[in-house]
Amino acid sequence: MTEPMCLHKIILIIVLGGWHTLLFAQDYSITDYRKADSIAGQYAGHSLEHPAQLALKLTEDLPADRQKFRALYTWVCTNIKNDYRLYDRNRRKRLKYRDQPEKPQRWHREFARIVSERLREDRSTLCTGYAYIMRELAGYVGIKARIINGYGRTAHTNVKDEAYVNHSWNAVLLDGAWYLCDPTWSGGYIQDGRFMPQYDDVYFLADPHLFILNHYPADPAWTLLDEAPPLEKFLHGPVSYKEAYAFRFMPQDQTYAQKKTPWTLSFQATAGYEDDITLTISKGSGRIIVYPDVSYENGRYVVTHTFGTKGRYDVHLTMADSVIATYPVQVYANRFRSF
Amino acid sequence: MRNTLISASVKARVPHPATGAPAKNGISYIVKGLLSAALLLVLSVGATDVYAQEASADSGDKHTVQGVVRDEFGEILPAANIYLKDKPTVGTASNADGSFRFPGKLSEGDVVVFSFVGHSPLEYTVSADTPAALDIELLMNEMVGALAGNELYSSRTVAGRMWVKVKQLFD
Repeated sequence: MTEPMCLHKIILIIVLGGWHTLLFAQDYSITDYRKADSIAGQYAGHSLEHPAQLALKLTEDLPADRQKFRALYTWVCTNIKNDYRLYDRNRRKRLKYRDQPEKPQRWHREFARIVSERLREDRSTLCTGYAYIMRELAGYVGIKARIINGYGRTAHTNVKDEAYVNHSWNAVLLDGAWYLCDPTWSGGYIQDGRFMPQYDDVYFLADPHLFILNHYPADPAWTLLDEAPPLEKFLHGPVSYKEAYAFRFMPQDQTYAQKKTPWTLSFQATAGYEDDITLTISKGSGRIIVYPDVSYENGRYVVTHTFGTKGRYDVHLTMADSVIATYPVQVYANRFRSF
Repeated sequence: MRNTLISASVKARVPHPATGAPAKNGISYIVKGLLSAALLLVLSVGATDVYAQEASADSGDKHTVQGVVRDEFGEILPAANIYLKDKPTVGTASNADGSFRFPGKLSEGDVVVFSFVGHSPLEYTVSADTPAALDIELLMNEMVGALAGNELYSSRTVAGRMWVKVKQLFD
């Protein structure tokens, strides 16, 4: 296990690496967006036929770029539906034509037109469309935004060895600094093949240290981290859910798991939940809830549990009744296997 | 303790090297402010003909910018967004047959942006050689869609189905 990040190390980083860049410091402090959100609400159901006019209407009463961008973001997330069938058609075609490089191009040509029409007329789309309209709307009011393609991590995608670029989100330039946001995932989720709208702003200008939990850009520079972790690490870490953002969850190490030997996992997260952490452990079809030993020191939790038998487990980490991450754990019997 | 350590490690950053975002100065803010004020004024007066008036406000050689927007296979792209790079609210969209005519006349050096979902945007700079009819070709990009679910990860696919709604059990 590594030592927790020490204060002097952080100060060193700031002194050596960052003093001249402080002018462009990103600001993740909590901002009051009530006015921007309420303006977005006033234009609920507005047509997308003339996006430039919509962008002006949504932003003209707001003074700063950050507030303007928020109004556009909230409007996009609460007025554009995630079209599951569009997604499914695209996925199946891409899968089908995986080994025929000529065909997907033809499909793509047709599909781009369908997406364009759906977005404009029906206000429904898939990730690429969300990121596209976000960039366009921002552009109309002089805010520079980009589409970022990359690996979106969910319970079903980009876990372990199966890695593919499946997602689009945005980077936006506000007050001289780049920020990240994901309008698709802020808009709601899919359940049983149906889109359930549910606006959640955890992905709005998210801290890059949290955004990396489930977004890895095709170009690692767009992690906006000073040091992007390798893709491998992203694919093999615990699977984190959006609930993890509220607790500022940042996974660190876990020890080798061996039966009848204490296994620990450590992570950074908001203080004060020592008594509110449980593990739901499943193996096959059975599952148990355990109350592990928890310690908290230097901003870091260390959770300890002892597995009785060897095997493959899924360990769901729960804080204050929210499941925030799942660790797939292989528990070995061999005492002498070193790591 | 709380989050001080964590937030301290969110360091200041320079503008992204890939895009080299320029530092804004006071003058550009003023110019921008004036521009957007002018735009809003015009917008509030007349609905759709804004574009023509705005675009022809400059002096110098004037060019009618028109043509067809296509994809890289030569097929037309309807409803592509077309706008001035410096004044993005000034613009139009391609018609059902892919044709477009930029409202008003443009000056040499004006940059027109063409964008269409799933394609890379293209910037066209108006010049003395701008032809009477432009052929704009947009290159394809990746089209993707990842769904946000409310499901938990399961390393066993069969058992995974039983876990589909497990999250609700915790609520």
